[in-house]
Amino acid sequence: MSGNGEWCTIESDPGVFTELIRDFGVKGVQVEELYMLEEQLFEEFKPIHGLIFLFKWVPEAVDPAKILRHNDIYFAKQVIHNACATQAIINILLNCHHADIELGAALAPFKDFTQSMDPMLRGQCLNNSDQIRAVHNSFARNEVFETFGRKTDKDEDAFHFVGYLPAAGHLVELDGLAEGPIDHGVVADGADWLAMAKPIIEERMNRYAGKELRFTLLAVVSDRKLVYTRRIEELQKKNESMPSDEAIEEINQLKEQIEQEKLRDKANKIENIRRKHNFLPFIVELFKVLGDSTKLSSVYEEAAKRGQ
Amino acid sequence: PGAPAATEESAPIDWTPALSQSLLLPILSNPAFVERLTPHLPQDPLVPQTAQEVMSTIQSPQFQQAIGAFTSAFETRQLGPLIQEFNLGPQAVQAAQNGDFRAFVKALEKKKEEEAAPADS
Repeated sequence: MSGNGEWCTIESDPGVFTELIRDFGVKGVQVEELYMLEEQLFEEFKPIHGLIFLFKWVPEAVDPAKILRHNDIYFAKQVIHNACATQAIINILLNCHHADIELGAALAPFKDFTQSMDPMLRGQCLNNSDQIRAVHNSFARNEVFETFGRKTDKDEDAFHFVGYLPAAGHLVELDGLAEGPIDHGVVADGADWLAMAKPIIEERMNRYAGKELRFTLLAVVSDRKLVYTRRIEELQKKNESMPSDEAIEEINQLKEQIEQEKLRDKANKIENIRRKHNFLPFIVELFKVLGDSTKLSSVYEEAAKRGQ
Repeated sequence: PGAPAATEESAPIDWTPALSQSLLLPILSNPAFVERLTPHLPQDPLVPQTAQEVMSTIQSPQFQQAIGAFTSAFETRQLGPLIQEFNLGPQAVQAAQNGDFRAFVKALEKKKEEEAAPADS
């Protein structure tokens, strides 16, 4: 599956994307799922560098007048089958100029190398990048089950990812299938791009909800541990000049949150280990154990009944 | 395009409620059964080779997806050649070739009875 020049499909899961970004060598970012388009949630995750809207793809015409051609916006066209998640994330990351983010040894040279190219050529360079492809493919599910029974899943090739982010003073939508960045207007000085993006994405969600199409909204945010650590330092300084119980309480809370993040990182790593594991011998042994220890047939009948 | 999230995929059989904690607990409190399963866990420093890990592995979405794929591959007769390699007896192999999961389950239960029989007599 992940042999010569092939890009595997990877799961649309915020934990997978966070690990993927880290394995590219990018520092200072992670991916979170936004269950609601609420300002309160935006506040919690700030700084948010970009949003990724994932949906079951339906053909939609883009008004050519809305295509924004601007040298300061990085945009690569999607020429790779299966890699739209990686593509959408890279398109967002290469437009980030936030101090928290370090592109690292894979993406920084890639950006330099492709900076002067047109979107189509950039897409082809991405397709040809052995390094980026190797990281992407390390998130492949185990091949034993990749080859079985999945070919009939028509949903698989119909998911698409687009990014929303502020770039060159505009709110832009980066859709690898479009001709260029789609302009959603100028972000006024001091204005919040998220407040601007909210009604646009809401409108899109409502449109898809009406057609019963599935969608997910993800946010590319600063590494939570980094944000919490920074806040702790801030509070500690404040506490030195003006001691307060509230500051100490918040510091303790933040320390707890950092521990929670570490546990999540570990859980994500274990999930990925499981994803790559060949479970066939485990499954066979489990059935043998069940056959030896209990009524395997009644377990099966219950499973079969639930599956109807 | 990318793949949808594992949890959103439709599996032909839903093993999640059947392989519940209450079913597994008594089984996994038997060290002999645990010892048979742990060697098949991912071998990684992050994955302890314990009964607890066997339990959380079985209940993980990744395993549920694998066992769902296993059942659907079985029922579409794709597992015949693979099952042959596991020494489960001719009836289990025949069931795999026919894609008959019910017969496979029966074959595994029967194999236990057959193996137990000589010891009883």
